[in-house]
Amino acid sequence: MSSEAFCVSPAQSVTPTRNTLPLRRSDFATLAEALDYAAKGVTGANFYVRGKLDTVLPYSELRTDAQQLAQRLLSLELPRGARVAIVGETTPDFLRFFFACQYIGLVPVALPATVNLGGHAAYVEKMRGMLKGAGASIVVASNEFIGFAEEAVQGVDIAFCGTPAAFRELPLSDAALSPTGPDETAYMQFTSGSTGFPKAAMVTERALSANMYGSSMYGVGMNEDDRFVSWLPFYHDMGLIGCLLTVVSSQRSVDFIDTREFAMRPRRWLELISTNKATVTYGPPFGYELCAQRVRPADVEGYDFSKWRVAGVGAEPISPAVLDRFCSVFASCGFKPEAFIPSYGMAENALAVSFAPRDKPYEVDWIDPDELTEELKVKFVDAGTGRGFVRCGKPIPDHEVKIVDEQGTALAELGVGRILIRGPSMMTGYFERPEATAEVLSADGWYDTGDIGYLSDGEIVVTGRHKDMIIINGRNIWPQDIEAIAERQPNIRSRDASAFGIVTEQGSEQAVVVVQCNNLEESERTELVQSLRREVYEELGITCLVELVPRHTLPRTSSGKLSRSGTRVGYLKRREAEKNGDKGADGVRRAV
Amino acid sequence: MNHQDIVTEIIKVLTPLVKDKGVEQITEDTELTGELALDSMQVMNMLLELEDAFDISIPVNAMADIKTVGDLANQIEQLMSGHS
Repeated sequence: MSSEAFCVSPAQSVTPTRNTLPLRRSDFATLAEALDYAAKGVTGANFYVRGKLDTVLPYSELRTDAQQLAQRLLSLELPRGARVAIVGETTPDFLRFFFACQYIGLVPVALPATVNLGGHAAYVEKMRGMLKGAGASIVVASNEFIGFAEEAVQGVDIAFCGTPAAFRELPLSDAALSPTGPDETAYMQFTSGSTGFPKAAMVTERALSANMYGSSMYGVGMNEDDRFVSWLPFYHDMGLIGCLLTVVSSQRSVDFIDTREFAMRPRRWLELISTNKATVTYGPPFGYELCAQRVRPADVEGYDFSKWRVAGVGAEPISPAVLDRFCSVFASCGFKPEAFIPSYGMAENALAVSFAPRDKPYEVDWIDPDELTEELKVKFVDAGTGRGFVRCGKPIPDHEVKIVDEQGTALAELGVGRILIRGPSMMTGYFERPEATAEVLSADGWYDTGDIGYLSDGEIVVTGRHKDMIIINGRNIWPQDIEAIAERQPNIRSRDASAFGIVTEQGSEQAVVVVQCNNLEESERTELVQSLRREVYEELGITCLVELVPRHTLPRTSSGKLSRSGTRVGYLKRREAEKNGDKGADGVRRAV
Repeated sequence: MNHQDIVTEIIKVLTPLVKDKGVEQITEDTELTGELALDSMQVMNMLLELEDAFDISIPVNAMADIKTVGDLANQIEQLMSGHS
């Protein structure tokens, strides 16, 4: 092994929670400055694999490694601002490459590190779309992913694609390091765009700093005893900004486990929180729900969650029942309801827009669902009746929120409309997508989030979306992606499929696609449904209910476009009729 | 353990996961996501049980080319013999 081999001695121990440095709460102009400061202390990132400590990476070492890697990347003589695509696995190398970019003005962009069962071709296609969408010059992929990466770069203009080991073979340049400046792009983040049209938000160092400062100072209220534990992927804004960059820029230690390991064995995350006395976590509701479902009574007795003071929750609609359940399952371990901090944010705003107040239990607005959807009005009902919406707090300082109606007129408190935000954390735009940027970001800085909601005592309450996006397990799914898969099946034509989300009895979201087709044999129908379901899974990683209906069933808008909301209404009516024993009416089949 | 034993074990793991889906018989040729309509959590649960049953760790890239029960059995066979 060379001198740069990152071997781990068996005697290593995790980095401490308490630092030797005075705490600075993300008040740096750039990430390079933040790491320069953190490197003077003793904290760092710890990686757990299969339940065991695998790698300890103190920030001091991270800085040395990143700078050396930066010298090697310089040998490629890329123009400043060139994009470096890194497959976002939960590994020390992700941190090294991400921060190497910070020292030489390159722009890192994380790619998803998740391949669905049977999804080889779909993953390669998606990766290629993202490499093009980011105009990437460099691709970094581990041994596990390099095969896919090499397929994906075929026909794409890439300067260098390799494993971390291949990059360490590059010569060291003697050119001076020149860190990314405050008004340069710190990183790009792929947002919830459809796979056919990936959009990467460009965020400057200044915007990122403003956001992290808001989180550290006001949202989390970082203190000397804080320690993070995270299972969130680095290709998701909550994982990258919330659980990595904010942590480095406030010199805290963090313990990581891989996302897939968490999904399979959520108790390992709970064990880490307990053992390492973690104080701060983030996650979408489904992550907390998974823990509550999977934990065994014997485990609960052993956990100590008394130090856990911030359990950030967001990235998808928050059902009060999920939070209630988690609190009741883990109450005996010392988990406190006031630890849950519902928050609201999106990649376009770096991450956070608002946090619910700390040190008091989450608050729920109980409102009449019919008044809400039909009249766009908030009518409060008795607690536990109607529908409960969790309040997500006031915007962080210097950030504004307003609610507007369809005409763009600002609404008063409790008026339901589109949620717009403005402030210093805002992206500069989507990379090379001026039209897509102009659609959501106005000249005077207001960003249309695509969400619907209202303000209640100044706190943001999200009630739905005006975009058609479906959110499943914290991931955004676009109906047009499902429709495209349906329309490429045999016997199906363009505009024969309409996809949308429904809320299941359990309160989670489920994708549905209604497909119209000519009369088919039973075997052809089965084949169509199965191949559609398989391809949706391979490409999008979700299951989708499929309903086949006769041609001319799908409703259209006055301009002749398929109406997803109309299709949804029709679908729900047919399910209702079916429930009432009216099976098979109109030759309509049960969704499968 | 031979290929057929592995297939048998996979079917044993899958059967309770799909009991409500009206699947008549699971064979080597049964497609996991199309026919059995496994969702992502069921895939995770299946992998978890198989990892424990065969004492292996299934890497994420191994998933990419698995469409059927038989594909999965082949992959597990390779992992068990250390030639993944």
